This record gives sequence, structure tokens and C-alpha cells, in this order.
Amino acid sequence: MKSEAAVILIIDDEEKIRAGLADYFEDEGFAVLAAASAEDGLAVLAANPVDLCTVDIRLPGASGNEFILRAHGLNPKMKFLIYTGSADYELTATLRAIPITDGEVFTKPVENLSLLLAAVNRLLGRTAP
Amino acid sequence: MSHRRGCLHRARRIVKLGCLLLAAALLLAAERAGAADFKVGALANRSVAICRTQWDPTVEYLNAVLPGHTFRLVPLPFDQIIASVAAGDIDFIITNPSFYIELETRFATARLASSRTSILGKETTSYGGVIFFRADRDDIRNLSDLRGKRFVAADGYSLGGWHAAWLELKSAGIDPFKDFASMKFAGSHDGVVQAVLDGSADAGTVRTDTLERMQADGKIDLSRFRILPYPDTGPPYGAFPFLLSTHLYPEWPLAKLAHVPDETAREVAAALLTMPLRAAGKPGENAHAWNVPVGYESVRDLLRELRLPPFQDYGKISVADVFRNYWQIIVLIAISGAGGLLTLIVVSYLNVKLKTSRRELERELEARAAAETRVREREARIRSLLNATTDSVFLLDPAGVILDLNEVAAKRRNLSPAELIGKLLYDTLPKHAADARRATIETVSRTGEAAFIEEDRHGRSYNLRIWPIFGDQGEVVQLASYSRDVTDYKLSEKIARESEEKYRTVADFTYDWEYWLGPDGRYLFVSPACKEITGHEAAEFFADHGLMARLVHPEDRQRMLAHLADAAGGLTGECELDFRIIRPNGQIRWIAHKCRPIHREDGTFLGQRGSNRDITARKEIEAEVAGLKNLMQNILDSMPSILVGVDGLGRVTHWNSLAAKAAGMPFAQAKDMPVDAVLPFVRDERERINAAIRDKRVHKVAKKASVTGGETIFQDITIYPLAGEDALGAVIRIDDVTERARLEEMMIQSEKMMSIGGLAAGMAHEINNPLGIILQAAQNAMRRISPALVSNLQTAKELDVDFEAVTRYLERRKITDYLADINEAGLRASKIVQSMLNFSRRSQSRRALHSVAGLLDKTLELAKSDYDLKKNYDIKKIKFTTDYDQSDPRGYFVETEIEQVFLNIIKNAAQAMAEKVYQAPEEPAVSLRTRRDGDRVQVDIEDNGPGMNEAIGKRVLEPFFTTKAPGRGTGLGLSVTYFIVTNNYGGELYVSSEPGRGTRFRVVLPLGRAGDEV
Repeated sequence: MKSEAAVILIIDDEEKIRAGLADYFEDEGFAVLAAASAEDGLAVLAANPVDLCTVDIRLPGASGNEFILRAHGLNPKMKFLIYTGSADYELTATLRAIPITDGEVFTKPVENLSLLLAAVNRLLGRTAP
Repeated sequence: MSHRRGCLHRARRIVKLGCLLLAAALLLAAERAGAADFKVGALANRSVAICRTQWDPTVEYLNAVLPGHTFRLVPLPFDQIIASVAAGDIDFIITNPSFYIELETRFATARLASSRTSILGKETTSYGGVIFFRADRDDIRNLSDLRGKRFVAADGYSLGGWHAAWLELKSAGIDPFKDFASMKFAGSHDGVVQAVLDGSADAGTVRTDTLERMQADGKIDLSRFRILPYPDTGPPYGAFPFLLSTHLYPEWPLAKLAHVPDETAREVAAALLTMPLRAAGKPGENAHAWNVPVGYESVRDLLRELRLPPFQDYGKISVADVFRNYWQIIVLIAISGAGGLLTLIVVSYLNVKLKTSRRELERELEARAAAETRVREREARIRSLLNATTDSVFLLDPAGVILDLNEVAAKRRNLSPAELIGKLLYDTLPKHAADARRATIETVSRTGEAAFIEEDRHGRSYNLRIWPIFGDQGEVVQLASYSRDVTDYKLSEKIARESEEKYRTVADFTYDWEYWLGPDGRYLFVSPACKEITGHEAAEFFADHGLMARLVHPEDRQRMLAHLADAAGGLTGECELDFRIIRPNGQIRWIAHKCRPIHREDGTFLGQRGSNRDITARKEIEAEVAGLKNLMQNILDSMPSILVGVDGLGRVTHWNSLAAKAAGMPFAQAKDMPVDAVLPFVRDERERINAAIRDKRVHKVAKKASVTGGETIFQDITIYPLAGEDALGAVIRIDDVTERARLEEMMIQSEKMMSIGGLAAGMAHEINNPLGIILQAAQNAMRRISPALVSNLQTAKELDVDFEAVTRYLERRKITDYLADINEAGLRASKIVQSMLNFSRRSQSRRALHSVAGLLDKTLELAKSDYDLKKNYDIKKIKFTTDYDQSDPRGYFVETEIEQVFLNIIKNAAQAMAEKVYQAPEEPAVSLRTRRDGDRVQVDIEDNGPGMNEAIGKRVLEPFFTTKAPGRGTGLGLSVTYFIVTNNYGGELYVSSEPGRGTRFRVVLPLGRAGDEV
């Protein structure tokens, strides 16, 4: 019944955030990969097919924005959710051009993780379970 | 010793006997005198009454000091004197000297004393006559002028009233009874004066002092008379105190008649000499006392000269004379027996012969003397005529020899006339004058034409006229030369010319337009300065007397014409007024006019003197000053501050309209009042004002709070001392800084929020991550104990755990609740961070055109569906009313921001109202109202909640300020609202509240323009 599970890559330098999100999405039936930096994330992408990335912006090394651009360059079909602690984050023009909209930008903490899930399902064309 | 004693004894006896004899004699004398009743006759020359007034004091005095005798005054008229004395009716006589001489001669009357008289307060012992005539008679200058005139005297017997003058007339060759047109006697001195005064006589004579006496009595005005003064002014004449025309004669004597015994005479004489001289009772009355008798020789001479009694026979031959001269012959004849008849014949023959020859001789002599007198008089007249001039007059022959000359001519040469007659005129002149004179005289002699020359010599100027005198054949035989010294005339002419020039210069070079208008309204003088002032020449004013009035500006004309009319009529005194004139070129000049009537010393009206001064410049300055004053006041009034000028004593000298408004009184009322008494805001600043003035330093009180009209206002009071060295005083400036103070407060608040925003932005990331972990963890935990998640059940099955038991356990031990609490607290913290971030974050959203009313409606929907409001504040019970501006104001807003603004306010209202207990029918209500205000919209959201006190009202916008219990509201809602309104939209947010009645928030938002979308 379950088709091949969609793969979500979680990039966040905060381990507990990564773990929490990973647990949540795994609970929701996704295949979850995780990386602590943009560089690690790209390495993951190189080795695995990924459908969607949740990206923290402030990262050691390259920023989340750079990661998105690079990842998009690797796989234009890949979807992105931005999940950042920066309250004043604004999408750049190039990101908007991918396109990523304000609807895909979430500031930590989200009131309810189901909001993230709803966005992921919407991006991946899945219906809520 | 005994012999000597005997001699002494004898001498004593002789003295005793002598004393007895003397006493007896005195007793006898007294007895004899006492037997007689002495009558003192007195000449009543004026009237019996006056006679009594004059002499009664003497008689009374005699009665008083000689009690043994009785004296009685008997006034006697002129014609009774001689008779009374002859008859022996009287014992003493007081009479005039003329009568006295006659009485002395004929009746051996002997004078005992001479009168000392006090007349008009002046004492004299002599008198005379005064010859007078009316002052308007200019034909009488000396005695000779009296010839042919009508003359009046007092009485034929009067010494002062006639004899004295007669003698002077006779000495001048005038026979009063022949040479006068008429010679009358008025009978009294006063009558003489009256006759002259009424013109019935041309001149008259009275006793000296008569005129002065009558003047003192008010009977005459002495200035109406003139007299012929006596020419001798040496002693005693110079000292004589009354007008005098004649010799002086001794005053009246008091004499005894021959029958009066010598003893009595001695007693009387002694008594008289001791009589004091008392002032007369009335002015004009004479008072008398007595001196030792003086000699009456002068009177005797006068009578003799006038052939008056007793000398009426003087110059005739008496029997006694004949006997004295011819006694030898008479004796011879008598001896020869011819007898008395022959003697009589001889005497009468001789008398007849003598009379005849004497009469002839007298006639011849008189005729010759008369002719000589006439010639002498004529020459004297001509000579006096020649001498009565200031011109020098020469009679010359054609060769220039002086034939005759007048005194002036001689005097000019410091020689006597006799020394000059026969001399050549030219020798008496300096060379240049002599030459000119010679030439002139030769010309006059040759041509027979009079010549006029001017001559300067010895520093003086002369005008000469030389007239020819022709002989029988028409040849010039003599010349008359008249030379007039014109030096003084020329000098005075020069002075007059210089004086005229001086005053003309003064008058012509005035700066003012001066004029003199005669009594007839015609100009007598107009100063040339009129040209400069009026543009018209002085000549135009002379020619056109109405010109001045026409020059006057129409607006001033009525006033000026009225004044000129008054002035012309002499109705005004000195007066002045300003008026304008219009010059021919249309220019207007201001004139200060002053004029006054002028009068000669005798009061004659001479017209008006006027001065017209051009005060245009002054008027301009005045106008400028007034303008400046006005401008200064305007500037003061335009200032947004209260401005008050004070003097050194802190009294108001200036203030502007704001000051007047603040004090509630106009400047006029506040002027010179102490400023602290009239201006409430500086009521307690007196010391500071004084200090500023004293120290010359600016003093300032900042943000001083005052309550006015129930509102607290803040003012800056600045006291600026006047800057000038000598200027004492200050300017007080009071600025209302209430608005600024409020703005400053808002700025502080805004800055506070901004800093909070900055802090939040920095912290947000660091807080958000842990919050994310907390919330994820809490949510994951709750999910993983939930039966809803399939993997939970699978895991429990794998671990062989009864999932339901676990669930029950977790619930019983409230693990589930703890997780929910964690989640909720995390969310709350997240919201705080989120709100704080709003203070720093510009809206990223695009602005779009929204209806304010639409946004309000939408906010109301949000509020009603708000979980928190629904659950905790029962929002459904609140009655919302709306009152939107019908023009539906729309503006460019970010929808969510404005909704947040309104929602926060409504939430605040709802939360506040929840704390109030409403008594029916009152119920919780919120009214929403919009009003367009130009390019802004004003939104009022008003509740009827409990309201706030001032302290809370002030802090309600402060971040983190909350009155709610912890956990209820962040304390940031209204701060965010405020921040959005003021910071993001440049609008305003006001809170006003009345405790117990409710709170009103007023949001003022600029509507913005198209293009504000971004």
C-alpha cells in the first residue's frame, strides 16, 4: 500500500532539531536523511536520491541559501522547505525564481509540526494520511 | 574879717532889695498885660476859614504857654489891614511882608518873629511867586512872550500872588498895565489858577506852592501847566522845594503894634520861638511855627522899586526934603523976614520947575530908551535866532572875510566871535577845506547861485550851503554860509543802515518760513525761506494774500482756515498747530505752524507774527518710529512665545498678545505693574528676574509645570537681561513646551522599543532553536504516546507492553498534561520573541489599498473568533457599534499590520471590560468610529470599561507593561500597536481615559498615496 517512501533530507546544525524532525517525518512514513551542514548535505545528495530538503539557513560553512541553489542545480525537481531560527529571514530573488514561496518559509519554532507536514505533502503532491 | 562880713551883708541886702523890686515890676506888668485882651490880626488872603486853620494853632499856643494873657485871632481881609492897624483895633498882626513893610513904615509896627512854614511836608522860610500858563501854550517861553497876553494875578496886595511876579516883569522891561492885553486880579490864588485853566487868562501868577497844594488837594493836574522857571539856581533858589519864577522873599512876620508894651512883646516873642512845628492836619494845608525875625530888606526894595505903599511917593519931593536940602536959604529968608509965605512960594516954584524939567527929561529919556530897547530887542532876537541853531553861520564878504558869525561858528573854532570878525574864513580851515571853500565862495560870488558842498575836516562831516546876498545892483555883496555838522547824523544813519541790514539779514536768512501779517491782513514780511519750503517766492505771498490758505492740504484746510480767521481777528493768543501743504510739484510737506498777535507797547495791534517750520523730516521719522513700534509689536505678537519686557524694577514695559492673553489683561492695564503680579506663570519668579537683571545673566527654568484651565502645561521660562551697558531690565520669554515634552516622552518610548526590537532580533535565533527543540520534542513525545500513531502500537507490541495501560499510566501521572504544558509554554515564549521582533522588523509585506472600515470589520470577525478572547473574555457579550465615515476612507496598508493594531486595542478593551461589573442596563460596549481628517483617517475605539488612572494611562503603551496576571497577555500588544502606527505608518496613537467611564484609543493613520504599495 505504501509506495516507495519519499526521501526527506534534513539539514540543520542543531542535532536535537535534526533528530526531532527526523523522528516526526519517519513517524509520518518518510525516509529521512540528515546532515549537519550544507557540505554534508550535498554529500548526502550525491549518494542518495532525495525528494525534499528542509533547510536551516544559518549553518557552519556554506549557508542554507547556497545549499538550496547548489542542490537545485543538482536536481531541479527537488523541493525545499526553509526552517530557520532567523526571524528576519527573507527569500532572495534567485530562491524565489526556483520557485520557493513564503509558504515554504517557516520560522522556528513552528506552533505545530503538522504545519511543516502540510507543506511537505503539498510540495510532494501527497495527500495527508 | 568883720569889715568883709559887713560888705557881704550889705551886698545881700541889695540883692534882696533888687529881687523885691523886680518881683514888683513883674507883678505890675502882669497885672497890666492881664488887663488887656490881645487881638492878633491876621491877613485872610485866601479865606477866613483858611486863615483860622493857619493861625489858630499859634494863638492857641500863646494862650497855652502864657496863661496870664488872652489872645484872640482876628482874620482881616486885604482892605482892612491898614485900617485895623491905624485904628489900633488889634495888638498883633500876622501879615504878608508887603503889608508889613507898609505897617512898619507908617505905624512903627515891629516884627517879633518870622514864619517857618510846613507845606506839603516841606519846610520853608521864604516864598515867592510862580508865573504859569497852560502846558498847551507853546507860544510862551520867557517873560517877553507874555507881552500882549491876558494876565491874571491874585490880589493887588499879594506879595507872592502879584508883587513878586510884577518885579520880574518890570525887570524884563514889561509894564503889566500897558504891555498886557489885559491885567486882572482874581481875588484869590485858586481863582488865578482857575482863570488860567479855563482859558480866561493866558498866564497868571500865584504864590509859590499854590500849584503843588492844589494838586495835592486833587483840584488840578499839575502836568497841565508849565511855568517860567526862575533863572537863578544857586542858593537859596536851587534848594527851594516848590516851583518858582521870582526872587524869594521871607515868609510872613508876626509883628506887634506900637502900643503893645515891650514886656508883652518879649514874652510873646519868646513863646513863639519855642512853638513846635506840627504837620498840618490835611495835605495842602500849611502849618506854621516861628523863627527869629529876619530882615525884610528884599521886600522893602521890591516895594520901593514898584512904588508901592509905603513908597508910592518915592521920587516926589516932600516938604521935609526941601527943608533938608534948602535949609540955609530958608533960614536966610526967614531971617530976612520974608516970612513963611515967601518960603511957600519958593518951595512951590522950585517944585514946579523941578517937576517940569524932570518930566521933560524923563519923556526924552523914555523915548530914547524905548527906541534903543526896540533895536536891542530886535538884534537880540535875531542873534538868539542865529544862536539857537546847531549850524554854524557866517556872514562873509566875497573875499571870504568874516563879517559876522554866530556862537556855533565861533565855538567850532574855539574862539570868541570878536576874535573871528575881520579874519579870513579860509585861515580858520584846514588846507583842503580852505581850498574847496574858497573855490565855492568864488563861484557863488561870480554866478550868484547858491552852492551846496560836503566837507570833512578834523574827523567830522559837514554839509555846507552858501547863499549869495545881493546888493542894489544885483551884484553879490555878501555871502551867508551855513554849515551843519552831520557827523552824528551820518553815524546814526550808518548805525540805522547797519541795524537795518543786520535785522534784514536775520530775517532773510531764517530757515523757517517766517511772516508778519499786518492788522489789515496784508503781509508786511515774508522770509525768503518760504521758497525752499513752499516752492513759492516771497513776492507771490505779498501779491496773493490767500496763497497760504490755498497751499494747505485739503484735509487740513478747514482746521487751518478756522485758525487763520481766529488769528486775524486777534482772537488767539500764542498758538501752534501742524498742517500739510502741497507744493507746486505735488509734494506734501508737513509744517509746524506757530503764530501770535503782536502789540506795540501802547497796546496797538500790529498784526500776527507767524513761523512755519518744515517738519516733514520729523514727521517722516515719527511715522517711521510709529511704524517701527508697530512692527516691533507685530514681531512680538507674531512670536509663538509669551514675551514680556520689564524695566530694572521688574515692571512691565512691553508685552505681546500672548502675554496679554495669558494674563487676561491688555497691555495698557499691565503697563508699569510688577510682572510677577500680572502674569501668573512668573508669580514665583521674582527673585530669578531680579537676579537676571542684577547679574546680567540669562536665567532659565525648563519645563516648569503649571496648571491652567485644569490642564497641566509645561513651560520654559527664560529671562534675558537687556544687553546694553546702561539698560536695566529684561525680556522674559515663556514657551509652552507641553507638546514637546510629550513628544520627548514618546521619543524615549520609541527608542526604548527600538532597542528592545534590536535585542529581540539578536536573540531570536538563539532562542528560537531551543524553542524549536522544546516544541518538536514535546510534540513528538505527545504523538508517540498517542494511539493514533500506528508505529506506537507496533512498538508497544514488539516490546510486549500494554499500550492502553501505558496510556492510562501517563494520564494518571499527568505526563500528558506536563507535555501539553511544555508545548504551551514553548509556544508562549515563541510568541514573545515573535512580538519583540516586530519592533525591529520592517514589514516585508506589500502594502495594498484597503478600506479602513473593511479592515475594522475584518478585525472584529477575527476578535470574535479568537480562541483566547472567546474562552477567557466572553467577547460575545460585548456589544460592538460602528460609526464609519461615509466617504469610506481607504489607505495603503499591510492588512495584517493594521488588523493587528486594531485587534490589540480590541483585545485590550475586552480584557479591561472583563474586570468591570456592569450594572444593568449598562453592558460592555465598544464603539468603532472613523473620520477622515484630510489625508489621514482617525479611528476611535472606545470602551466603557473601568478606565485607567493617569499613572497607568501614561505607561499603557510601554513594552512589557501589563496589569494582567502573569501568563495573561505578553505586555507587548499595545506597544506593538503603537510601534506599527507610529513607526511603520508615521501615524499617531493617543490614549485617553477616565477611571470608571472607559478608555478611548485614537489611531490616526496617514492614508498614503499610490506608489506606497511597496
